[in-house]
Amino acid sequence: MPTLNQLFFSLLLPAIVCGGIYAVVVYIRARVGEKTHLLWLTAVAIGIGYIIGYIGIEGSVTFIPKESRHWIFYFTIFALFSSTYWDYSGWRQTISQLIYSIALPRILLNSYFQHIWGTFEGVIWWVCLSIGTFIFWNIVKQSFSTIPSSNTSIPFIYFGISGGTALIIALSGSVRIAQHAGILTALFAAIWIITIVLQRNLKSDSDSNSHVFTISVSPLVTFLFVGIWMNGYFYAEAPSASVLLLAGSPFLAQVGQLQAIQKLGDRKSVLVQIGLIALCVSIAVIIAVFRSGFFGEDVY
Amino acid sequence: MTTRLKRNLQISFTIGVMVLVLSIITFTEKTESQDAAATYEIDAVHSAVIFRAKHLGVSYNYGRFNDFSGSITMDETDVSKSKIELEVKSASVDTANQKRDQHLRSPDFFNAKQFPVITFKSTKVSAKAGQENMLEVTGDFELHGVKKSITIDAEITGTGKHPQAGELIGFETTFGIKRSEYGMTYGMQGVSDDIRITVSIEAAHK
Repeated sequence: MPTLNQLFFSLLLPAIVCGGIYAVVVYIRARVGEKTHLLWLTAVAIGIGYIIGYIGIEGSVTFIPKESRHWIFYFTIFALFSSTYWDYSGWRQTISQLIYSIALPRILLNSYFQHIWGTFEGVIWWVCLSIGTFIFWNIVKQSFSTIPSSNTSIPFIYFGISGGTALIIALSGSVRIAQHAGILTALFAAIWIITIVLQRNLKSDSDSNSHVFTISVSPLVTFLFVGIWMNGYFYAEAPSASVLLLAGSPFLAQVGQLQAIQKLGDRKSVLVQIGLIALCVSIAVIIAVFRSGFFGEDVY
Repeated sequence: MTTRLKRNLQISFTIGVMVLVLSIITFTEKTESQDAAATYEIDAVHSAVIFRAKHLGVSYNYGRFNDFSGSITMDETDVSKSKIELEVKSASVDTANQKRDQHLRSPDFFNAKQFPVITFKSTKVSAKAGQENMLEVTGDFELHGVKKSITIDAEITGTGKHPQAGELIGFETTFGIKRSEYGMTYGMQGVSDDIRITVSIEAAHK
């Protein structure tokens, strides 16, 4: 069981810092308007929060990273750097997205390439995971732009996905990696609460593109989730079905594009989207619960 | 002709005997030098690598590793030339509880996928002064991707002969480590930092 000290440094402090920075972003958004280039500060809020939580859990930063999960810290730094230019140019975005999608699995799964996979098997996995990362990245970007009232619903959706991730990985056997997902859960919870509290400071237009969660946040969200899922699946033996359901769940936001759903109006449409994603995450958790033998007699 | 033949035969016989004697001497010397530095392979069936950790500061819990291999080169005339090498597969950890073993293999503890082996390679072996059959072995112990030089006392528990396996030698050592020094810092409240490891080995002459 984590001590109160650990809980403070790995959950509460990151949430407070992230919420504080996010409140500034909301303020800027309300004062300056949607054309501000400072919207990458949302990524800064999540990134700084995660870095604080990371140090709270791991105790220090190691260079060169010894274990796969230590790389997530450096990915966060890269993502923060990327988010500063992510909104501007199409070609820089695509090239960066390609390079990162190829590099992420290779770095995270280095020991698999060294000890477990042969050359052919390794290449197949690498190609598939790179494509998977690229697709997930696009799903994240799409979810930011297709969910109405995204300022409140996006943090709630990713709060649910990261909470489900933490639960699934903890059930699979690695509390340490689950704690990393726990940081994300705390960060999205903080953002969600701040958004609700400061709702009146946000412009009330429902055009999703004008909201605080812009695609400049997508590198960070992608790196963090991909980093944690790959660690969870490959090193902590989280069930593949659960991980795939979690990774695919934001895609369900696309149902908001359907005319039948749009006809329901913003509020009901969001409820349908959130409901579907919540169902997907719940199924993923249920699979992990049964796979873990949680109700068995082998508990120690 | 007969005398010459006899002489030739005598010379041939003498040379033959000399060659034989020289061969025996050479062979014996070779055998002696081989015996001086004999290499043994660890017989995992008759060996064990076990460890214990304190649970919640209350009781000692024991575990073992089921998959390991290694070799011992023993030089009886010059112990300092002896070598000990051991490689343990971390995924073979066995504490008689499947869930616990799975947790021990995870990144919380051994992180068996990233660090599949635990190794020990001796760098210095010396006889322990005043103690019969005791060796002081210094070597590189690598656990969880962290390599540290440690010095352990090892007892030669016996030697013998097996009808099939041939010459046998036995060793046993017990030593302590702090798992936090090897980057295994998860769950320090529940599982003690101090881990005691016992390695009991039976090795057969190659």
